[in-house]
Order: sequence, then C-alpha cells, then structure tokens
Amino acid sequence: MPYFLRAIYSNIKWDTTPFSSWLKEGELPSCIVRDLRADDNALSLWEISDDKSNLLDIIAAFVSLRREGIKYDFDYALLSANHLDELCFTPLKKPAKTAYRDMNHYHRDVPNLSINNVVYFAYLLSRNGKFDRMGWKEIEARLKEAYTRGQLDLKRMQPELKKQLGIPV
Amino acid sequence: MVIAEHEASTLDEYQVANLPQIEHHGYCYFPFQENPQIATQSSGIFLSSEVPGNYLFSFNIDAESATVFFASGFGQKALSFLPGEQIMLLAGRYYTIQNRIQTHSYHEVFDTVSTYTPQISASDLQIEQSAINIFDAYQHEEFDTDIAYEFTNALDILIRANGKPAVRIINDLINEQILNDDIISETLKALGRIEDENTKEERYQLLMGLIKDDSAIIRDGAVSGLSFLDDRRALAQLRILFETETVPILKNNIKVAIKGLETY
Repeated sequence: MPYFLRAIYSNIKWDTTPFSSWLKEGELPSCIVRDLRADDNALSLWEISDDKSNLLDIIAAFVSLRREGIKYDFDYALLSANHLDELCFTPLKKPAKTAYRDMNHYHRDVPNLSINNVVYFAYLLSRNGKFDRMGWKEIEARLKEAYTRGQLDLKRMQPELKKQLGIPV
Repeated sequence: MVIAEHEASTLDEYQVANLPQIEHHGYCYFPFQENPQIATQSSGIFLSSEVPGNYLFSFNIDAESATVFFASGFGQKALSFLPGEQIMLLAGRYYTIQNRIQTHSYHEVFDTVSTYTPQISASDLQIEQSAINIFDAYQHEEFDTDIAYEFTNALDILIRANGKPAVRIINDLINEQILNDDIISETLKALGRIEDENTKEERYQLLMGLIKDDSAIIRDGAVSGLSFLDDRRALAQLRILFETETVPILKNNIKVAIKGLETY
C-alpha cells in the first residue's frame, strides 16, 4: 500500500503536546491552517512507494522549485493510502513542474474539496499521519546527485538555489 | 581611591578584578561612553545578583572617590557619577540623570525616580529600532518558506551592516518577551542560515541559550538554527536535549539535526 506525502511548514505545530493545557482531547490547534492550503479547492499530495524508496527524491523535487536556497528543512506528513480511502478521496495524477523531471509524475491532486473535506483530512492526518522532517543536508546531497546525473531541468531552478548547490548560474 | 563605606572594600576588589567578565556576562553595559552627549568621564558598576550581599556600589575613577549605597531586592541597578553635581541612575536597560543627593538609602535614590530613559547608545538605538521594524513587519505573518526567506534576508542585512551589536540587541529583544513564539522561532532559524563569520560565535551562543526554552516552538527554532549554522560543537548539548525532550515530534526533529551535524 503506497503512502501520500503532504508538505507542511512546521511539523511541531501538529504535535498537540505543547497545547495540552487548553486544547481538548481530539481537537486540533488552529495554527495548522497554514498547512491546509488548497489551491483551486484541491489538496496537493505526492505518492510515495510502499518501501519509501522515492521519498528523498520527491522531497528533492519539491525543494528544486524553491527560490530560498538550501538551508531549509523539509517537514512533511505521510498518510497510508487506505486512510485516504476512508474519506473517499481520490487522488488524481497531475504531473508537477519541478526541476527534477523524473519525479513530477508522482504528484497527485485531490480535487473538489469543501472546507469540511479539508478539515476531515486534517483530523485524519493528525490521527494517522507520520510526521517527520528531512534534514537540509540530505536534500542538498540528493539534489547534487540528481544534477550530476543530468536529471534536473536547470531552466526551472532559481539562481539562488543553483548557486548554493554549486551549479553554474 | 576613597571608599565611603566600609562594606565596599570586598566588593571593590571583586568588581574591579572581574570588570571585563562582568561586561561579557551582561551585568555591566555602558553605552554612555560611546555617546558624547552623555558623560564620558564617569563609570559605574552593576552588581551581579550572584554577588553575596545586597549592596550597590559605584565609583568615579577620575575623582578617585567611591560611594556605596545599601540596597535590597534590586536587579540590574547601579549609579554613576557625572561631572558636576549630577548622578546617573541605571535600572535595567534604562537610565535617568539627577542632581546628586546625600544619602545612603538605596530606596531614596532609586524608588523616587518616576521616569527612566532607555539606556542605549545612539547607534544601538538605531539598530534596535531597525530590528523592531523587522519584527513588527513579520510578527503577524503566516510563515511559509517564501516569507521565511524574506525575513531571513531582512535580518541578514541588519546583522551584516551592524555586526555583533545587532546579535546582542536581537537577543535582548527576545529576552524582553515582547515577541511571540513563532517570530522568535523563525528568528532562530534565520540566525542559523545567515552566512557571516564575523557574528557566527554570537549567533551560536544565542541559539544555544534557547535550546532549553519552555516553549517547544522556540526549542524547535533553536534546534533548526543550530542545524543550519552547522557547528558541531552543538552536538553534545543536542544529544542531552534528545534524551530529555518530551514532545515527540520535537524529539524526532532533534534526532534529524543530530544526524545532519554528525554526517558531514
């Protein structure tokens, strides 16, 4: 059973332990709203293989779009595909446009979502998701490898990121 | 040097011997000497709360005189003699200038003062205002990587232009508890990202000082900042922190930071 990756800005906000003094059991803190953005009423997810062998490459693909440079950890949550089934969510293939060409076909959209759907998704993610962080050095190393193998579309990369990866601008 | 009060002799030896260290530890801070509008011929000493006894001690090097006020329950308060008949009273980061009075009562000196002025030099005041402007601009932002990038750039420019004093002032603003946890956490990450050898040590010390903060969000920012700063000296403290951390996701984040520092 594959997983679906949802990029989040700060995984610590999904840990309710620091809010236990005021947050009731089963509730979610409102600060996670930032991680539930749904452009065109669709949630953006990435399909991760059962053995998670494409996890680091997909994160590298995500980061290859950024203008910010490399010193940013990547926080994310993984949700098993069968949990999405619980919501009757149907992730549709929608190729991304990252610089890491081979990874773009792993992108999925879950379209036509109401706010209620998104909130349900948040509860599902909070209950069943595996929240983690990929360190910036691992991402940097993987992007450099992808560059060496000629897998990056350099035209899609921002100058600052290329500079920090040692790629000629 | 004339010591006006008998009790001062021990303190005198202690303070003079430790004067440079006091400054480094933040007990003693005299930006007045940088400001020509305020006295340049005076000096004073803050009493550390670690010094046994409750005394306030101040002396004037040029006049070779000293006065000791008995004090109780004070924090970072001190007194400095100015040329003429005036004295400067220091209270934390504030000061006031008054006419000299004849008293040995701490309370009579300090507790009758109604208005203190920020104790800060003109250049520091400018840096502080610039830092506050940055924090004000981002205080209510929903941070994402784009916003974090802009915020980091703003602090980068401030620190590169002003060097170590800028890091000290940012540290002061964090400690004043006027910033929310999110902006402090983002500040710590930004301080780790900035590539500036001149202030690296100060930024490292600032980050290390907050890895045990009460707020998990601030601890997370400090851990990330240390990871970005890429200084292996942090490893020992991070390993200890990993053992004691009680917030599960943060515990994992610490593990990620340790792995990053260990790997390369």
